[in-house]
Amino acid sequence: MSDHNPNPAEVLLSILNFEVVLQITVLLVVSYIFVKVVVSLLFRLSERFDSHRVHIRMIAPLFKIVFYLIVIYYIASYVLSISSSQLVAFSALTGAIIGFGLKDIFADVAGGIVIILESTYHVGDQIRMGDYYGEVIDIGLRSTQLRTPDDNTVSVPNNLIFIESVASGNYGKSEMMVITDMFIDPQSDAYLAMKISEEAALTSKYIFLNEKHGVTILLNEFPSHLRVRIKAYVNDLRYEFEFRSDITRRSWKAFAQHDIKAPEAFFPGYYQREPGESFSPDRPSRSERVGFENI
Amino acid sequence: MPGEFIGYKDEIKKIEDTIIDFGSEPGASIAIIAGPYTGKSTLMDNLYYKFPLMSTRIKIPAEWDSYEDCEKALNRVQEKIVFIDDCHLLYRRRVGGFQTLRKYLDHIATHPEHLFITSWNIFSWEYLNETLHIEKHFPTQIHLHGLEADEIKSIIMSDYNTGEVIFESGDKNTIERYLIFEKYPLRIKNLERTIDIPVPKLNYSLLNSQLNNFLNRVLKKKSRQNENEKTPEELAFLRIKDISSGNIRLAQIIWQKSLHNSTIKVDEIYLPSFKAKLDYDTTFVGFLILSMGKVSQDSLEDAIGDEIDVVRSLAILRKHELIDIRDRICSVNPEAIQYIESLAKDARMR
Repeated sequence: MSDHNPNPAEVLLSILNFEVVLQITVLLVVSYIFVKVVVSLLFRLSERFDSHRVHIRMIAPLFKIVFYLIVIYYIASYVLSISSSQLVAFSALTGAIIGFGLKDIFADVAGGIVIILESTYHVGDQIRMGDYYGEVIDIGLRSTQLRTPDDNTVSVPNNLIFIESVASGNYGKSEMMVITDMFIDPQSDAYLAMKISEEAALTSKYIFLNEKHGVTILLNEFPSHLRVRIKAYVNDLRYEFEFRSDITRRSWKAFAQHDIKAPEAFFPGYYQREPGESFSPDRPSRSERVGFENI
Repeated sequence: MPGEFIGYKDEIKKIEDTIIDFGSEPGASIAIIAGPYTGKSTLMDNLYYKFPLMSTRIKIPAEWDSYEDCEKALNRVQEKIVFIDDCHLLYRRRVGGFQTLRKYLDHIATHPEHLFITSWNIFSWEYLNETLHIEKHFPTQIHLHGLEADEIKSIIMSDYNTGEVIFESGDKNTIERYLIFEKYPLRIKNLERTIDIPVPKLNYSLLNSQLNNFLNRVLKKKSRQNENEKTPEELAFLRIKDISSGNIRLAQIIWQKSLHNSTIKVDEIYLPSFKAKLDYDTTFVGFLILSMGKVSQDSLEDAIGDEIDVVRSLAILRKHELIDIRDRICSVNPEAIQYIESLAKDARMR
């Protein structure tokens, strides 16, 4: 009696029939709908608890992966009733598929599992991965969806975590450090500029403050300008850009009252112009360019 | 001269000890920290009348203009003890808004011959602690956490004769208490009619207060049996205390809204509830008012500047009865304190 290793095609044909295919299809469709509903409920719940939004959203990808693995196990064990010899045959088939055609997809799936198990980043994190930057809105088996600052949804393949480094601004928390740079003229009062910038951050409606999360102000000198760098935490990473804009706008409003100027080198000739004179003498004013006086 | 002061016995004793010891230990400024309508101004008044010859009092107005007003009052002081009420009104949440407060703190630090007894709004205090580390200026800090049930009872019942108010346990069953039926208007196009359908909703406020009661019982190791032995009167004031968190003004409002025909039913004690969904800016304006307790509209507009449409936000807050505006002075509605606090907490505001 010779050992007979079944041919994968034969195995497939022996276990697949109309009834089994129907069962698998129904199971997958029901699982898909169930996962969608649960994830949607989790997201809605997270919106009701702003302070725990990121924590609640972190459950969603974990639930998805665990649930799909259970479904796959159920299909293999109870619907297909695969024996050990059939499993060996399938392994060979799967290996061939991965090796030739679907290696990227399997790399993505492996990446997805690594992201969940290692907690590389979570749903709700503000991350930079390769050329992409944005808030993680979903971690799927194959890809991670990011919402960029321009409100675009970018689908980043999960295998990118094997080749690119990932920077997470908040790592599972709602608060995140935001760095705001203000550039001033070297002749301006740098100490006052630092004080104003600090107060602009401290009084912002988006600030997050406690013992561990304070405001740091740094001053750097460059040949043509001074840089005041404000490091402060925003209470919710969704307000990252509003927070930065709030600090910049209110700082410049106060700078203007205290004669703190933008670097002369950035705008040559700007401060030497007469009142009413256009900024660039070589260039006609906007009204001259569009010919407003002729309208 | 105010009458007998009820409550905060330990806190008063601590302040009195500091006053008596003052002289041997100079420079021991006191900060009394409490939420709006918790009774800090009344406590300050009471203490002032205990030491009238050696003390003076200054109340910071809701519409102060500059440090000059405050400085004039401080420079006139001859007495040893200086009571300064509502010190949180000395700052504004804007660039340059801490200047007055900083000068005031410098004044306190450079005048150790005076004992400064100051009062602060808890929300402003917490914010100023993170920004200016204000706690370092006040070695003695007194936190007023609200009155106990028997103290609330003493204050409220002082207006009534014995037996004038009847206390009943109420006849609502458990389901009636935990479920609220709200009317949902359903428009039937064909009939051109609207029908109000009663929709059951969980009474979250009651559930929350029951949970707090339960936790308190567990923490204080009070038995349920002990609770069952209480009279309807005691239960009523315990309930009022739980809902108001010991805030006397809120407790008085709850009392007034629960009293019908000289009868208080424990199961029907008024529970403030708000459903307003506010945008971020409006929540921030509401939180600023909560942090100040009472603030002029001009000060608010000055603090916020052109970044938020203050008039619109105030209109929304007023429409939902979260604040009150009289003579351009905005004050938080005592019933809405916990609601605005929870909104600000959810939005992680500081």
